[in-house]
Amino acid sequence: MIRELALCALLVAACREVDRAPRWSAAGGDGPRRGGALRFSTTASLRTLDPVLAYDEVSLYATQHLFDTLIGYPPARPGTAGGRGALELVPQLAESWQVSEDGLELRFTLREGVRYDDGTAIVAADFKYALERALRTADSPFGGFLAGVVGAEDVRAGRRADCAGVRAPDDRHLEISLSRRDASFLYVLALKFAAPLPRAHAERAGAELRRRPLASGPYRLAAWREGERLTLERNPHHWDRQRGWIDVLTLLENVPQDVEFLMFERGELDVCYQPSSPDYLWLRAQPAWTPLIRRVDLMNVFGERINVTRPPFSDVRVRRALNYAVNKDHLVRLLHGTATPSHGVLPPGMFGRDPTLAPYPHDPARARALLAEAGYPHGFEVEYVTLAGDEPRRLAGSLQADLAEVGVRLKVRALSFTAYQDAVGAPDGPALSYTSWLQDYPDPSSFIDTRFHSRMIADHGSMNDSFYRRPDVDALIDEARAELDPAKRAAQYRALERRLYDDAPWIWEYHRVAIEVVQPYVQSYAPHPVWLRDYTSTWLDLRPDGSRAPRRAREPAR
Amino acid sequence: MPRAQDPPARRRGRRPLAAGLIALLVVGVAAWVVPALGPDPNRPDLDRGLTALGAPLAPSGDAPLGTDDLGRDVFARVCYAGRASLLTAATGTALAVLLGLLAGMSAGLVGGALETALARAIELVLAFPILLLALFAATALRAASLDGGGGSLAVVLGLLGWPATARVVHARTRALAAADYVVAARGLGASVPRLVLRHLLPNLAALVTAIAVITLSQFLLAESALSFVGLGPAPPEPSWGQMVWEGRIYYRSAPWLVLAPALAIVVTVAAVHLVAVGLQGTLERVER
Amino acid sequence: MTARVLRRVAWAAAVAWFAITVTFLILRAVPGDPARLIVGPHAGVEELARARAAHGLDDSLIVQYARYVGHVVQGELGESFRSQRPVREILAAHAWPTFQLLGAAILLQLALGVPLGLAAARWSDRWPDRAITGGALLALSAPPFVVGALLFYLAGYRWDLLPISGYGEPGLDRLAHLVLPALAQALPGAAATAQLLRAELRGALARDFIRTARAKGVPERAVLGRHALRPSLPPIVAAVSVDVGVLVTGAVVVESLFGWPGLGREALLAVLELDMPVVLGVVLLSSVVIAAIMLLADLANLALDPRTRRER
Repeated sequence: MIRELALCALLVAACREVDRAPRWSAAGGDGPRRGGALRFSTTASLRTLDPVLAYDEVSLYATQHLFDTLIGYPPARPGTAGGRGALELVPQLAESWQVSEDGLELRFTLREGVRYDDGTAIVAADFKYALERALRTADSPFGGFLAGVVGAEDVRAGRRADCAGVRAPDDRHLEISLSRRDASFLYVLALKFAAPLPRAHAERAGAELRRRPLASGPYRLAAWREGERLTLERNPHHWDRQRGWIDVLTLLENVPQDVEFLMFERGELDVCYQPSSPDYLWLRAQPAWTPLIRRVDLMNVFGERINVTRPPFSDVRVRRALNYAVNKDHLVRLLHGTATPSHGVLPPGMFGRDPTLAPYPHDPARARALLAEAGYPHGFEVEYVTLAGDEPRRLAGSLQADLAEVGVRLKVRALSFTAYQDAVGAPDGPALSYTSWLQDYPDPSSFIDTRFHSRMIADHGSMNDSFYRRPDVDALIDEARAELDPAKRAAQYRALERRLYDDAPWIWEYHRVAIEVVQPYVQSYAPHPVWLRDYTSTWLDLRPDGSRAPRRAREPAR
Repeated sequence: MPRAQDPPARRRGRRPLAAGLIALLVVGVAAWVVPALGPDPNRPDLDRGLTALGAPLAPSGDAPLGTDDLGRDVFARVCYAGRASLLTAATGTALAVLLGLLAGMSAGLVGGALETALARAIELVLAFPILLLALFAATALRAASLDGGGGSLAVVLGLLGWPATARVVHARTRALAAADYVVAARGLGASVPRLVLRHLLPNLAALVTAIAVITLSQFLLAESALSFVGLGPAPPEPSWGQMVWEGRIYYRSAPWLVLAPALAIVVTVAAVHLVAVGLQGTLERVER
Repeated sequence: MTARVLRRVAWAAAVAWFAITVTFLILRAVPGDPARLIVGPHAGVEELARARAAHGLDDSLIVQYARYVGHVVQGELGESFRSQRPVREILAAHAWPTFQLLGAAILLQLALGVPLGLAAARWSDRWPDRAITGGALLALSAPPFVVGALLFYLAGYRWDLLPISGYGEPGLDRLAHLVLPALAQALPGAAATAQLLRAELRGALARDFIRTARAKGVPERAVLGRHALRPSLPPIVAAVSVDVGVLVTGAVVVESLFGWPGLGREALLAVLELDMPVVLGVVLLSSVVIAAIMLLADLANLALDPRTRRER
């Protein structure tokens, strides 16, 4: 009897066809409305809510919603190029600012009546305290960004507690003095570590600061079950009524990528960021889902970094040969069209990028000729280091096949993040390795200075991991950084791009596009080119009672 | 444990043993002969092996088990992956059994402090979550670049897997050393190597074979689990656990990427288990 | 009795020491700068050096080891490199989910394995026996991740029956989330239990006291369920206690597969990123727990089998 029942249940279950179109639709509201809850997930753990320690993508998902800075970026609008407008700096907690003629003195005026989520007023001294704290905290990666501020070195070295170049003459004004001209410095102040923090709160919270944020942004912390979920609620004291439409944001941690999409499909998540390749392919084939895919150009670059001091790569002909040998169309196909081939480090939409420069064509014959000219007619064998992970693995497979065609045989080693960083940052480490760079701020200096200036070369953990040392490039980089005239500056970066293209310290490969799928009721959302996931301007088109409108039977979703 | 009252025990071992050995033979042929006949299992084919958007191809006449995410033939790869999986498990087993045999025999023969030390060491290793340790060790070796993966995994398994063998061998050696004929041989002045070669090893052979087979099945499972969490051979070399890991995200559109290597693991381990069952039957006969 | 428990405890301490020493040495042998984990990929050389100094990573191996052991003795496990979260807190937060998973897996293992073992012994060498033995062989040959992937595909995706990932809300939802990972964990163990019980029962059924019971007219069910089962239990308990070690390891894979926020997944993430304090904490805790379970199994067997009570 029981056996028959079980068998029946099994048969019923086996035959059940699950409807895989969106299960809900937009309720049809005509404009932004407050309310609702949005759930999103990430594959990793949230490390910290302390903006001075939060460098990783996932922590930024949280700090981005919790903290406002003096200046910030507008939200991204849906549409492929929607990210472009989101790169302009706009006033946030500062209502205005002035830069002196020589570019060395900055003066900010704070907005009137801005408050933290506990109702206390945000004052200029809080910004000063936050910047000094970044300089003092041993575990913070951000101190280096303030190196150009007068007196910053003294605080960093522990000689003084007070940073002479940052002053708060009264509650509403903040002054910063720089020791050298820096066209990109304003971007640094838009990083979340520069968010205001009152000394009293920091001292009260102590080590607990990593989970007791004092919010200045549109959302504040409701609860954090570490390793599991973070819940944010709207900050009632926030100044900007144009941000923070959704009542509650929930970030689920450690959801595997394949599971994320399944949960999204069932309505357990409202958005799905970077679905895995098979899920993306599946989506592309579903007419009901295709209009709900959001694509935005990201400020990143991917390729293979070469240690230019190590033979055979010290010969520029070998480096160019590798650039000709790689089939970028293959790479784009492996990434299912979510990438654009690149000619250098600066991504599309970035200031100073030279759009007329075409990527190296795929030309194995030329690659072989160049290798022969350099004395390697039969190629060579070389160790290649990549990160452990699904995408690097596939790309390594493709690269291995492309290079084998011109005689370069790769021995692939896939390493964990820490081991990989250690290996590529050492002068005697692997000569060829996978690399990528994601901007800290949307300025060419965030790409070129860090990766190609000889100042960034070190014996251990070198940022310039190509160990690329060209005096003319160094000079041009320094000039461009200090240039305040945008037209001149753009020309300088175009010259740099050209120079790097010819010298080929990397195999230039591609820029990634961000993909995010949303449920039909998620409105006015696109991934942000700087913050990636920014739901501060998103609203949910729900029914008046706050429930999701189900898709009517037989109605094709949109 | 002899069970004299069991009449079918006499025949019980034969059928599973034969079935297991035949299955293993098939797996072996698939691993070492088949890849030579078909397409290169490691060579990506992005032009013909993928759809225009870059999706794997479904099973067809050209590729009986479809292609993977780099356009490679899955059938060729599953066959070829058997080499890494089998070699790692077999090398590990050989190492573990050899170490266990050495440790167990010397402790059983010498006795005294060595025996106590060994007993303690065995207990220590057994009281520890072995696979967790293997995980750390393999990660470490991988990062230290001592080799591509497969070899270090075998060494790790061997170094951690010997206590089981040592324990059994030790017990049996002690029993044998106390047996009349060994005591007599010793009394007559037989040297230790002679003792080992003439009296101990022949008597341990059946037992050790049985242990080796069980260890092999355990190591096949361990190898697949460690490959599954990313400690398999370096790309492009495949192993079964690694293929399951790489293919798992394709459950929606290309389930064959998971099913084929998963089936290969289950069939191979089941075959080894059958051999173990068969040997047990044989062992029971020998012991009576 | 007390002496026996004390010896066990001392032994557990030795195992724990061994475990952390080995883990420490292995992890320190790995090239890779933990400071990079603290400050991230974009931090400059100076930030890196500062973090190294702040965490004592420039000291010699022996100094670092001595410092760590000293802290452990005082009950201090340090902070995670990745999140600066105290390790003690991480262990406390993730131990309960793992405990639930392992508990459910062991219960399922017994709930499936014991009846199957009984059935196989009851209808010995007939079709139920063959089906169960064959099935057990197959289940023992499938690694948990294969079972897990299959369950994931069928129950989670194809039929859309059960939640496939995460921890769920307390109550029924939690239970629903627990089913698939627990099943994936329990299946091989259930097969082993069934096999072992079958063998034990067959041995017991051939013994004199069973023949006496049968001769006295005790019904076959009672013979099996009462007389034969009881002496067969101690080996099962011993086997399950040994299985705990296997289950802990299986938890690494199964928790990762099903997004269960347990210690196994936490350990794997920490190992892959060389977050040493967390790895050491997990190793320490799991070796202590395994020792404790061995002790419990010892005591349980003492209760089940009166003969061992007089021993020593």
